[in-house]
Amino acid sequence: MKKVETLIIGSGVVAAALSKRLLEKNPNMSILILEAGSRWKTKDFGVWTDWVATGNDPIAPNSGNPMYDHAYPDRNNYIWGENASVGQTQMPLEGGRAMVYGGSTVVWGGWSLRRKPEDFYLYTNTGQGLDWLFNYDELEPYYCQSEDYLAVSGDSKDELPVMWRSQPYPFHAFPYQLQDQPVGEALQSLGYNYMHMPIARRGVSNIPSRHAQCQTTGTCDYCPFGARFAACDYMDDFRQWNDLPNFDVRLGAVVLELRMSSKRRVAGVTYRDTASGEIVEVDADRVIVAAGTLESPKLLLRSKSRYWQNGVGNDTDNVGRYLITHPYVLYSGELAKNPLRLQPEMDFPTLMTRYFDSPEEQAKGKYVLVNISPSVELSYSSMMQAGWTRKEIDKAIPGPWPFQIHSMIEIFGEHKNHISNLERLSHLGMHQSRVDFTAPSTYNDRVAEVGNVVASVMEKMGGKMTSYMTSWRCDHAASTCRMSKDPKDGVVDGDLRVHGVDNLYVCSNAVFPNLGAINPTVTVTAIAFRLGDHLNSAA
Amino acid sequence: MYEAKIQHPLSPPLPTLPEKIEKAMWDLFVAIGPAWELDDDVESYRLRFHVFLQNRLAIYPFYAAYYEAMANFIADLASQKNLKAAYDLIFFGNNPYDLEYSQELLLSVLQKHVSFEFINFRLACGSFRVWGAINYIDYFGGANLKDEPAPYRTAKGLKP
Repeated sequence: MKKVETLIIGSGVVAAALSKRLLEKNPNMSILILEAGSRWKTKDFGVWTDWVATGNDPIAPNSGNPMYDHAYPDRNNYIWGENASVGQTQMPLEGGRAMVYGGSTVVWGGWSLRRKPEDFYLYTNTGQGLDWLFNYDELEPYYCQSEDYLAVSGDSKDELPVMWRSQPYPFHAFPYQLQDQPVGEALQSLGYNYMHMPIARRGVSNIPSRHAQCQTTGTCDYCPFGARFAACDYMDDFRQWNDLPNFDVRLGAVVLELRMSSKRRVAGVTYRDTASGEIVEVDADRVIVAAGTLESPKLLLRSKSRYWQNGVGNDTDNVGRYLITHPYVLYSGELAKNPLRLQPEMDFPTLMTRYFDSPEEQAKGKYVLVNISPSVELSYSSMMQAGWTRKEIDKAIPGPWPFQIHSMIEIFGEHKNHISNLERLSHLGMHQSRVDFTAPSTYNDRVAEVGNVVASVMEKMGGKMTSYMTSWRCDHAASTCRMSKDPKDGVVDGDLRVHGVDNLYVCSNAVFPNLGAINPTVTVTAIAFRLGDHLNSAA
Repeated sequence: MYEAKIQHPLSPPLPTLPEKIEKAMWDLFVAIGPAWELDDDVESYRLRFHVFLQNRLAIYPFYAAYYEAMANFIADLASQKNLKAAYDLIFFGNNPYDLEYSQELLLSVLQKHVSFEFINFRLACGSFRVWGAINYIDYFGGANLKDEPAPYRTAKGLKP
């Protein structure tokens, strides 16, 4: 049986950042990363050309890519499906997470926002949920390291002085696009301040890098250069260019359970090698569960033993509980006129507002508004393929055109919202998920309230809002192993160690007690670096 | 990407089309320009177009059959009327040919896999500029360099 010093379950950004931090201190450390999925080829011009030629996004949720969950079973539409949604609100899993080498960073959008200081004090400020066990000031240096690692382009002055920073963004912000002009002017006239979207697209600096710069190609879902951070590319690079004799990544390794040698010690894991079908045991001095918000608690829950009869860390019934995600709301409208001849030029947003991501909104659920790109849904390709003549296209450009503004709204965890295991296996050989999620009873009022603000923005733009819809997809799922001071309230402590186990950690969005209104990736990367420092200092 | 000749001597040969077929495809790609009154220099795309075809064949070898069928389809239509009429049918659906059902079906397949893809690629090469933008999804606009103009149209009058 093999024994390693550090075993990491999951190969996403946490595995990449954490192993980097550990190996920088001790290049000989034995680290094994186990990933259930396989490798998705990145930076391939043939794949990229196929997308350009056909318009079929190779990583779209409906692409049939095996890295994604299948849709839920649906007898009415003859979908065999997998997983089970048993709550009153369906939280789609397909497309929201990627079970592949590199994890969800293979498919993420790269929006890279820090949490605001008040986001660490939800309970203190509102009486809801829990406070974090560290705050913005403590996490700030790790935010800088995270932004540097993810190669974020942003405006360092945008959020001063509330969100102080010890280092500027590694790359300067992408200037506002022309398509931002009507939205920015509308926000300005309504007194809502706006800012540049910090985005993980590598820019140009004096520091040499082997990673390519963004060429504003606008095919960010599949960057032909690798200018958008993907953990698999960075781990490959890290292994290729350093002498790390004991660093290994094993793909197609579905971890079945954690093996405990006592109540307080994890001995290692048992996994199934999906290629051979072989059941393999690996021992480890410490185990880091970095398998995301859904798989991390499921692994703890199914690791039952005489020491932990309800699953590891679950004596207080918190594992898998408090499941949240961001309701991602698409507000649609019509832009009556298009005098600026706005058209999609990029595939990522450059303007957003965090005006409502504020202490005043915290109790009801903070939110952000993003001028998504493309916000004007004009496509020359579609018009030409439909046989429109040049004259017809020229006539159509001045409008009207459909228009969208998107929003993410914070909701809070409830004990009843729960992720757990099904016995049946998925197409990847993993236990399927039972998702029990019901949206807060106040949500409909809240989304309508946000809609009133968006409607006023669209009106100022000379348009009108026509409809909105919410996607509850699991992209930003969190909180299922939340950190807590008292074991009765959560699963891990402030060092991300599972309460009651000395050498078992969870590092993922699962440990967030709340999400705030923004994307979690910069924060989860920051806490991975912080965990790395903690483990290094304890060694 | 643009270096079509970079190939190790021991690597298998890159897929290529017969010269006559590739020329017919290039002519179709060029014809997109006059059809939509595009004013860009198509000659500057020639090498990229060659690599584009290679990439399509590398992923889908059966595309050689689509390209050959499209070349034959165009030749057949052109012999009945003329080349412009053939392109007008393919691009705009202007149909003076009284096509049989099987030919209409073939046309729709060839449009999907050949001419529609060429339109997309032509726009990605830079033809979109005719409508006023300087960047476009699929186009290599260039890097975001400090103190240099952005590689796309920027907003005016917003706070910096």
